Amino acid sequence: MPQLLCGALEKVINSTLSLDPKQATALQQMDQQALTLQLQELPFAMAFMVSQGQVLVMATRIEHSCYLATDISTLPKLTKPELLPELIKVGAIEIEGDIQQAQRFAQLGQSLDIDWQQQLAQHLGDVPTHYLTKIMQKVRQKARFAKRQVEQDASEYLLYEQPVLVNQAVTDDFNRQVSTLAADTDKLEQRLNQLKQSLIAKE
Amino acid sequence: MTIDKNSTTDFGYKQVKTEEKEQLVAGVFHSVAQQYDIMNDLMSFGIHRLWKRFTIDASGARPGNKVLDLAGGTGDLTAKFSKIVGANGQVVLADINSSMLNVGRDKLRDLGVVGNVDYVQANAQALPFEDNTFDIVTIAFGLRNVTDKDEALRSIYRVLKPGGRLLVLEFSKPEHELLNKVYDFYSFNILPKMGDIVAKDGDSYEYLAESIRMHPDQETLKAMMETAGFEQTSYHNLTGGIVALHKGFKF
Repeated sequence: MPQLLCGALEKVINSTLSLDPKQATALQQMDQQALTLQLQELPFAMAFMVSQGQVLVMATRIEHSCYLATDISTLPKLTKPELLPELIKVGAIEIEGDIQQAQRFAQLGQSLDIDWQQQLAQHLGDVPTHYLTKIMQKVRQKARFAKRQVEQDASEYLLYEQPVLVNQAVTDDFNRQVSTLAADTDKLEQRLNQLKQSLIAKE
Repeated sequence: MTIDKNSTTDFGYKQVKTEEKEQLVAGVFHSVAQQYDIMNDLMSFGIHRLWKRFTIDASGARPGNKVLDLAGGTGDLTAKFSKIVGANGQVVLADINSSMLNVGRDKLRDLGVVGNVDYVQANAQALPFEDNTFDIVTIAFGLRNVTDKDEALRSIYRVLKPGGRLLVLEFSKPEHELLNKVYDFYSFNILPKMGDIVAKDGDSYEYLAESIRMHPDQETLKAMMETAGFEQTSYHNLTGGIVALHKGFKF
């Protein structure tokens, strides 16, 4: 049911926006502005309207709002104005109304700056949040190191243990040999041509 | 309006004197007002929120509109309409029952829904508004409690602006017989018990189940709207016809 999706989306959007106090000003400036979005992946249009500091999501098309028809993969590109002419030209988006209105909605999400530590501290308390954050940082560092290590080990294995891949020096040497062979072939061709010419002259 | 002293009407499955129905319905809603929202969530498993969302989506409301939420009860539709119509619009939450209106007013004020909402105690059969006042009138789960539904529809038609629309969200007749049987069992066996436990008032919820069965089915209500003057009338069944949204325009 479209209403279930819109209701859930409305809840998620407003909960997320409320975590960043700076969004209140942006929402105030966008009061009563609306965007109707028709995604190719969905059989119904969704309207987003800003009102009283919240975003309403409805399964309908709001008259006189900016109307945008596109697909989910193209949506992130809307935040880059320089891509719009090309997207319209290739038919990736169809726009009716004020495109800046659509971009303002897209930028709402892009400008989100949430202090997760502060949000977590409200539920867990300052000290547990501090420890949890430190643990998370260590886990992240270890994960990054492990990723690098796995990549390195994998390439060494493929190069030396199971020589499926070749390193750069071998590739360069092979390319040099191919160039030398090409040059030798050219010289031989020239020599043959000269011999052919001298034979014709003797006849 | 003149009422024939001997005429009767339905109050659930009972036949009562026409002039008594208003008082009896008022008694039901005075009794359930405080637990109304909780009971709605429990009885419908929260689906009533989706039915109301569907009504909002189908209303075509836009900034600046004037909306009448008739039998608005605890103000679920009003809260949403208030945000859509914005500062230049207006929403009137009207209910015949003062207890429901008080609960609705307190709830909306607590939610911060103020500024463009007015509260009016009004009888749907004799709306205290000038002709051609509203762009949209909604009546959600209220029409079946009205004594004279035809008169209420005529009254709504009068206060709508030309081009305006009425949306009636109301229990209706399930489309499939199996669903009808399950629904009957739930309505007459489980629902009054839930009412008894949560709202301490099983009788009121027995009335609810009975009043739903006595309410006109989809086609009959559509015909009643047309008789009252509405045009381009249509209905959309929700949850297999347990609820239907009727829509009609005044031109």
